[in-house]
Amino acid sequence: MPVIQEITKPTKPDTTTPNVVLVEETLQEQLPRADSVQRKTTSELKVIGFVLCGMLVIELLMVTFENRLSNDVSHLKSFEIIAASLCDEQSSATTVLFLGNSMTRHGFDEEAFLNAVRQSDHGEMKATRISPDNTALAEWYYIYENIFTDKDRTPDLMVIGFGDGHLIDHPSRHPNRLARYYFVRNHWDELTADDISSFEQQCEFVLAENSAAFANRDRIQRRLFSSIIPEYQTGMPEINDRLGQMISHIEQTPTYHRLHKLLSLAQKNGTRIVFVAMPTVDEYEVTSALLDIFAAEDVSFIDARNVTGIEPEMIPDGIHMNADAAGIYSKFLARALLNNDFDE
Amino acid sequence: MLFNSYTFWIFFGCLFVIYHRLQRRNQNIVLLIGSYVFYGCWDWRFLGLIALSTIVDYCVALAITGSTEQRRRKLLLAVSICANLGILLFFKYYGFFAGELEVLLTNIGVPAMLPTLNIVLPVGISFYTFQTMSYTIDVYRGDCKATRSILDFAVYVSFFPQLVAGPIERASHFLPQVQKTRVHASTDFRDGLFLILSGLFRKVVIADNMAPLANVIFSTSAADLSGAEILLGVYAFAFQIYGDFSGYSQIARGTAKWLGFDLMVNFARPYFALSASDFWRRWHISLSQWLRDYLYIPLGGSRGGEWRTHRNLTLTMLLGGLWHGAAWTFVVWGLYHGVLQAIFKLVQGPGKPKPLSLPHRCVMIVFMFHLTCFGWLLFRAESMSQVVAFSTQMATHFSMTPMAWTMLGLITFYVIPLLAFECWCEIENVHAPVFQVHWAWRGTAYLYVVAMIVFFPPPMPSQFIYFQF
Repeated sequence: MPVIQEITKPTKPDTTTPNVVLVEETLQEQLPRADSVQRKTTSELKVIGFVLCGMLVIELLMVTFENRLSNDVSHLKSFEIIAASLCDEQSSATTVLFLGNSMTRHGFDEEAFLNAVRQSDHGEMKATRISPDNTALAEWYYIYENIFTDKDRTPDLMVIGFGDGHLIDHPSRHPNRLARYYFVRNHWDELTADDISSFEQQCEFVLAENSAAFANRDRIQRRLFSSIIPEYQTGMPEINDRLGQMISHIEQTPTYHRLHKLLSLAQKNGTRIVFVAMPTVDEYEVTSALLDIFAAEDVSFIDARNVTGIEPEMIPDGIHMNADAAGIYSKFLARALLNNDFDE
Repeated sequence: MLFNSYTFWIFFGCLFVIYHRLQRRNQNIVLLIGSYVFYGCWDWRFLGLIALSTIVDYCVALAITGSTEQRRRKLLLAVSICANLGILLFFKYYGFFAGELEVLLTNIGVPAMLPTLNIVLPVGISFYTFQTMSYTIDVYRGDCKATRSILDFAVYVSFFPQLVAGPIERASHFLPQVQKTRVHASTDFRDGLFLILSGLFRKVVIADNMAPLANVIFSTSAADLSGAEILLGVYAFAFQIYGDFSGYSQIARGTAKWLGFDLMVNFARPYFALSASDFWRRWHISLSQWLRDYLYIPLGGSRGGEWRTHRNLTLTMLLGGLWHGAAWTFVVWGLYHGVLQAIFKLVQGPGKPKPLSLPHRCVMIVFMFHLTCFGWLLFRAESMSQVVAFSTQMATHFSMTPMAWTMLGLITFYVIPLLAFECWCEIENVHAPVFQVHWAWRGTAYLYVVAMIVFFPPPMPSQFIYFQF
């Protein structure tokens, strides 16, 4: 260590200065014996070693128990398996990937959907769902690009369920999860251009890529606070809403560059895309700019914002459907897809 | 380049390696280049201001030393003060005073259109102008010798660890360290590590996690908040500003330690203060001492009777408030602390305060903390009408809502460990009692600190509050 070298090799004081006595006294007071220096340094190195070992233990615990932290973590870790199972056989079944966030997780009832398909004259269909929490187009784009663009894994049809503002250009909300669970290094340039442009973000991305604990620190926080702070589940969303209102004062015209990129990527890989505006309690607008893109790119759009039979009380938190609503929504979706022959 | 950024630590790592391979003079050159790069990362356009301030004060101090004629010395000092205060007034206060004058003239029936300039406030301007000004005043008074080396002086002015947010170092303390060959004590690495970890904890874990809570409350109308939410919002701000500013000072001291410099202690557990004057002995000590030596004492200090003492105290604190920013809320905050000190002095009477029993001490700490918090309400409020509305709401609609419970839980979770540590320091009467315990206990404490920094970062990092002052 350079610091220690300096300690053991002190420079002689400047004897030409008038306060030489004081300087020498100070030096004698400050200059420690070599064994004392050694002892203090060793002790501090032990402290640093202790901290490093502690952090390593935390990481190992996290790697071992990360599935227990949240169902979403298990889901994120299963993307490869889901992709492989969707296209693992040489069958004639139409492969359908339902892509979205927790709205899709709660709203898509696979059994109800496949039953509705079976009852029709339509051929065999194989469906699966990928719906990580709190995601939007940025994450869906990377999931498709990183997991499903391989020739053997490309689904025939991709149904993307979205809500208010999910399709506009926005950097990834959880680059750390992307880093840890479904990132492919080939796309670094694209990622740094659109999502993690600053050096600080890039450092964190690399850390998250290599550490489960770092990648899931927001979950650790939430899990801990939920268990120790009374009313946290009610109080924190209120704080977040108010913070969101503070930030959203700066209105910007939405852009859809990433949507265009996803559409051209899907077209290149032979995947047809269907966008579904999902039901929520509060009305939201599907902008004319978005409808124009759907029309121009010849992309199918299903408006499921108001599905007959789904009542507001069936969406208890205003966003996520309950089981009854999910059944109705999935049947509606099956009918809409079959009627329009989207898979052909 | 923030202290809590990866960029800074890469920059510091490179500088550290180069620095420790050089001799003193070259070390100073590296420090000067590093400091200008550090400051240039904020806004390179303002590097000229630091250079100007450096050259003016370097020349003026030498001229003062070379002159025996008192009138000429006074004139030279006035040049330095005018140059430094001129820069400060123009960049920091022009907009405020121009706006207020315009309102005043319009109100008395003389509508005026004063030229408005959208001036960007140079980061840390209040700190380095005060630092350079103190140098020429000390040279004038004979408390410090003028240096002939512009390199040494430029390092003193622009030393990057404390350039943008203090501590405001005195030339008599810091300049000799720049001029001398660096001597590293065996405890420097250990002390630096402690200070840096402690500073990062205060900034990243406490200040930045308190910031959203305070921001939410101060950006919401009083009618939409309960009294408990407002009170907790003020507490959050109290710990935000403390964590932020003391965190910066700690990191500055820690990095300086690793470079072989000793910066002054800027905070000494201010929320354990027993009175208003005790608070100012513990809070932003370098500014308090600056104001005492260059404003309060020249105004007459405590000489000239009780009334004059109170007047000098109030005036000093009022100007201290204005130093923090160009807004009436800062002026009122300074005035409040001035009046508070005067009241405490009146109540306590002359002479040293008597030692207090433990329960009495605890009551006084809690009481003083709440007086300080009221000061923070004045400081942070958007306007005086918000202060009135918030105070009314706290007095009339005090109820614990889910948001208030959440805020209380978060404040407790983040702040209690720091307060417990400071309580330990207070009992032991040392700044770092961690060095008195076995290394394994220290390791456990450091592991907690590192884990908190890594796993409990804020929703969004924010700048250091005091950069804007």
